[in-house]
Amino acid sequence: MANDDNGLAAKIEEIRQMFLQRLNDEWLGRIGELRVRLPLDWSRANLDDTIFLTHSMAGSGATFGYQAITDVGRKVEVAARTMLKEDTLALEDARAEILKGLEDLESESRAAVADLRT
Amino acid sequence: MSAPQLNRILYVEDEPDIRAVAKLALEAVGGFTIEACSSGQEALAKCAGFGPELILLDVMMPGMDGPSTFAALRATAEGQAVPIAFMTAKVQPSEITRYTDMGAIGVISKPFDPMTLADTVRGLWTDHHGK
Repeated sequence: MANDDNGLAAKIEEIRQMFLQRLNDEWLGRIGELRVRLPLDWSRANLDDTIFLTHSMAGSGATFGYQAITDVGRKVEVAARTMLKEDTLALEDARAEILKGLEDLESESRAAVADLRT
Repeated sequence: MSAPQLNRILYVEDEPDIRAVAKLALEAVGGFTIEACSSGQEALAKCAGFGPELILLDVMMPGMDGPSTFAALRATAEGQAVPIAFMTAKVQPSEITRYTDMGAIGVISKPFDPMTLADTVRGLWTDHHGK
């Protein structure tokens, strides 16, 4: 993000703070909810929610410098899509992979939120 | 044949921070005029008045998703001939084929680098007009 002729980097930094605020205020809560809901109910609706959330996070993390959020988010999204496609909702290994991924995503998100200006 | 100059882009994205950074990058780095919309419905409402030369559509949006918005725009007089590219975090080769088979001129993968997004868009535009 060089080439800062017209305060472009400063404007991008403002938007990065918007992203971090949303990560803090919205996405961390949704990850936490899914980590509680999924072990109680491996339904298609809960997996759809998982896919939608992780897709959003994967698609935005690296744009703001958080490659790990993109990588882990994509991994969970792929695992959840595979579970639905192959109808492996009852498989313990598949469930464990998604829950571990969400745990990692929460951890990476908390690390990113440390960059939020107070 | 050289491509006509690209100026006006209608950009549809539901994520507010991604929408903001893409709009900034396309305007400040690319020099384009951007009309940013947060939903397919908003894009349909604004397309005629804005008169875009290119439309960028996010694929996964709540409510009316990218492919549904694509179909709805194609059914309007104002949007039926405007080149459309999708933007998505899912870039499996089969998906790219699916979207280009629908009539999209290309697919831009997310996440993107704000500093190179305008070049990517311009490349799609040039390739489209080189066909």
